[in-house]
Amino acid sequence: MENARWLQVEELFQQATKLEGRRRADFLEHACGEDEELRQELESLLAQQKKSAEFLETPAVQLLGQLIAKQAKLEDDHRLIGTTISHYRVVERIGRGGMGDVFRAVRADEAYEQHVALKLISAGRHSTFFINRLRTERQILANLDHPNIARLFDGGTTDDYIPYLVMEYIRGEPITTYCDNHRLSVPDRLKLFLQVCSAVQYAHQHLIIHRDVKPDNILVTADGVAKLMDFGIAKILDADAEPGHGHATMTVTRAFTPAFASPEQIKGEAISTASDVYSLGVVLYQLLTGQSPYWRSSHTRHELAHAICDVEPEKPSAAVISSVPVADDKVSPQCVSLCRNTTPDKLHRTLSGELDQILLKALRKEPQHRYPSAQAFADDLQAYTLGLPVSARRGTFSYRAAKFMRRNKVGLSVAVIVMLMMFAGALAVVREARIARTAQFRAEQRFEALRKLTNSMLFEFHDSIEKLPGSTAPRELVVRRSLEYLEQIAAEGNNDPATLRDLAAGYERIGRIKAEEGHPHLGGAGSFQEAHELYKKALTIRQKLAAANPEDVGLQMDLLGTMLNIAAIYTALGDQDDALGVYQKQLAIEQRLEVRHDSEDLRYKTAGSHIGIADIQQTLGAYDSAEDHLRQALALNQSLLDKNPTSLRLLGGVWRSHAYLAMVLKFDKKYTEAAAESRRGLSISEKLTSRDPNDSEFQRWLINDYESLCASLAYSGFFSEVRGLCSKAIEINEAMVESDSNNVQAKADLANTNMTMGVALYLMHSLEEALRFEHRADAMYRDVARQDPDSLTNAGDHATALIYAARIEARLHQRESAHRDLEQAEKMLEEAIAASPKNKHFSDTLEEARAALKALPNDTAPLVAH
Amino acid sequence: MALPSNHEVTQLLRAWTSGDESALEKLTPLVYDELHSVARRCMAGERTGHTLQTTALVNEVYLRLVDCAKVNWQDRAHFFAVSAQLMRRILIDFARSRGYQKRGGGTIQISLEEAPLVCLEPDGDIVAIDRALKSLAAVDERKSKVVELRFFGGLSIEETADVLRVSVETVGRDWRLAKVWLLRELSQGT
Repeated sequence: MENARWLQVEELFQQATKLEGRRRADFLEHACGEDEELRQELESLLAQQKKSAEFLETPAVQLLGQLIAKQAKLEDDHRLIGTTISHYRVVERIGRGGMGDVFRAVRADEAYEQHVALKLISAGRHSTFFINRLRTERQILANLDHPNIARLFDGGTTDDYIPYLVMEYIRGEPITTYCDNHRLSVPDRLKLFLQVCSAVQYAHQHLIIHRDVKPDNILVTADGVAKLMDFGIAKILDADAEPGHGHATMTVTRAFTPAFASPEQIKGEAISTASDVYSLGVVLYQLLTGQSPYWRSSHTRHELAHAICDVEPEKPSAAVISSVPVADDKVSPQCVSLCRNTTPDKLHRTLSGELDQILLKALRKEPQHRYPSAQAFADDLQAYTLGLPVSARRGTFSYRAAKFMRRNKVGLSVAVIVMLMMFAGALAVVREARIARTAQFRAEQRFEALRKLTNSMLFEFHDSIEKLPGSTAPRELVVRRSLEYLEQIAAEGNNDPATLRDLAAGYERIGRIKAEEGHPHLGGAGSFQEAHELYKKALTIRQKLAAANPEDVGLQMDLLGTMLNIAAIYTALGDQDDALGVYQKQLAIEQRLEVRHDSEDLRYKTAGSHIGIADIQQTLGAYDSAEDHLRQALALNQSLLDKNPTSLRLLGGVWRSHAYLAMVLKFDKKYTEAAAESRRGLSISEKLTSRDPNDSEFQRWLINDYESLCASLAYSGFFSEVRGLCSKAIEINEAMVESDSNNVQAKADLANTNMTMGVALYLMHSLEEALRFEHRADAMYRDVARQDPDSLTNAGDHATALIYAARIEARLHQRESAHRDLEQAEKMLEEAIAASPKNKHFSDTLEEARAALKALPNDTAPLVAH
Repeated sequence: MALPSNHEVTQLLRAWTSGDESALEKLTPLVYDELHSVARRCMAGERTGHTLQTTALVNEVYLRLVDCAKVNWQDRAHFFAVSAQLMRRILIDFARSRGYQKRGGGTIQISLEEAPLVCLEPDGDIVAIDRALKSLAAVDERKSKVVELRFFGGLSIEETADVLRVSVETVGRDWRLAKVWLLRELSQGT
């Protein structure tokens, strides 16, 4: 081509590349005119333009470098292929991993051909120590037998002292590749992921931590079965654990993959099952969003380490729509959503909310803020797929808010003002929306936005300040304001179920604040009635919603929650019949739901209803029926716990069943059985307190068990352990009261333990000592009554202590004191009965007090000691 | 073979640029060995989780071979130009000679499967590219130089502009046109 012509082509080409479509065609038309040859020349060049983007962009030397390296690898392989290691003939190389090369091999000395994966462990790990550890770990790992875990068959060292492992040969693809290739939807991905959780949970129960959970270690077979590989191998490989090599000079290659490692792994801190939960979180993040939680902020290893330890991951729902330009087209929103058989918009909506929260919870930096187990993680995902409330949802905001407040020491009032200012803005939205009624769609969108804001006020903000001292007034303000808006929205929003649901929840929230005000440690006078009214409003809405959507388990669960609150109010008000009625209705709903929507959550609730019924019945003196309900609760909780042994909630359910059984049996004077139940409870509370010595809840359980066991043993005449048990209970209890003098519950507990100690000593005829404890108990009950004057339970217990004190005093010839105590007990019990006429304990105790009063004059004569 | 001193490599390079073809025969195994070891290191890096660094694999090879401080070239630009030529020769020889016969008549075909980081479309092979590049040189010498420096020499647009003493924009324009021209040539040549 002549030079001038070429220059012309070049100039027109450069101009044409700047144009597209119609405009380019017009330009060519105009520029070439009749010159068909020129047009063809240009068009043939432009036709290549799309293909040329990547063409020649990678330097030739690098392409060749890769080929050379591959070839070198092949040459290495050829040396091994065909040779026999142990009983296995090496067939082909199938992979290369952090630990070394993986070959497919067949067992050579058997009649049938068993294919296995043979892993040769890279050079540099051939110390005697390493080989010994390989041997011991191999034993442990070989026992892992789970459908979603690749089996470990064998291991040893080759003739050249290269360590190797023989594992189940899995023909499959890494889980991420599998999901993308099959264009699995989000629910299908979750299903597959649950298999992985189950494998990890199984291993954790066998005290094995994986330490390197990542997509490359999770293969999915053609039948869609996920297989987790290389369990615990990281521990074998982790040179750090080698004793005597703590020198800083030794460079340690940690055997895990940084991109999937937890912050504690990066920092070299203690690794626990929570580390696997974290890595599971990263895998799920990748499965759902097609990207790593940290890729945006990290390009080098160092940046990645920093991001894992310090940068909060982006919400998955945000990650899938973000249009940050990246070289890798695979993470473009279109590509990611296409692989999930959806659109970016829909994917964003699917992930928003619960899945965001669940993932962020699994990815918390602090191990203790993650899910306590792989099972709990799986449970939440399962709950999500079933449309049930997830546990992660409520945590995030409070977690972040608490963190924020800690960091900034922002006064609570400031935070509340900020939130209320947001509401002022929101109110404007409502007004505007009303004006913009014609623009129906936009208005709806705004309602939705406002509803979300209100929702976050009601739940997240409220919950985040709930535990802060002095938060009652701001909480009530926040919730009341939220309710006003909700009521407005409800009026505007055509009875939208989501709004109604929030409205009910709002009433319930204020109800709860009011109910708590009725509790002494919040320093308010009883406002149970007000709480009751609010709960009833919530109940009405919930009942309507549940009736209109019988298939929506979430709504039924909401209804059950409200009913439980109402039953608790009735119980606190001493209104047994109504409480019992609510509990029985609850039980009926639960049993109906169980037929179709059986779940752990539901069964756990059913067990709770049984306990609630039993609690009422025991106050009515219906001990047999109470015992029957408690046995059902125990059976339910125990079978749930057997299936999910690490669940703290279920363990609590089992404990509560034992504790209530012990109480009811004691009232029924079946002391031997009661003692046995107390001991069962004790085995749980002792384990929990030793595991978590600072948890005040567990300490209460422990105190309760010691105290009730002490009482049952004393009543049945087995005195040997009595003193020790009660002393232990008092000791723990005193420490609790000392650490928080406002804790009325702890004081009431301490009064009880002192009374029981006194009763036990009385039964053991240590009268003076017994009286000292009863007097102490008396003083404490008074103290509690000052802070909590309306508590019927306290009054009943106090009266009981006074009667025992009087009996002892009578024996000690202190007639005046005895008379005074009994009269006081009588008065207190009469008042309690007026409030709760059907309470059998109160009437029984009153009878006792009156009988003792009658008997008093005779007691003035000196008593012959037993 | 004992590793030659940097000085020796410099001498060989100089001899080759002044027309001594036998110097190339001595240089080739040195460059190849270096390439081999760098490539293996890259693979090892990839194994332990490093991403394969695309930056300056070529430069790394050169820097290890040539003592830059002692290179008495007229200027840096000349050095790069010579390096790219040398690399082109060595790579083409290598591609022709190594045992890739099973892949299409003694040439390397770089498919997506073979080198996932690369998109040489559709069946680009280095020998064919070399041949097409010679045709391009007949039409537009400078554009073929741009490709030589960029693709075989591993230089950036800016470095290429530096070597050729033209503007960055010009290199960009040349590069854009050269690529489509070569692609068209390759698609017609088969």
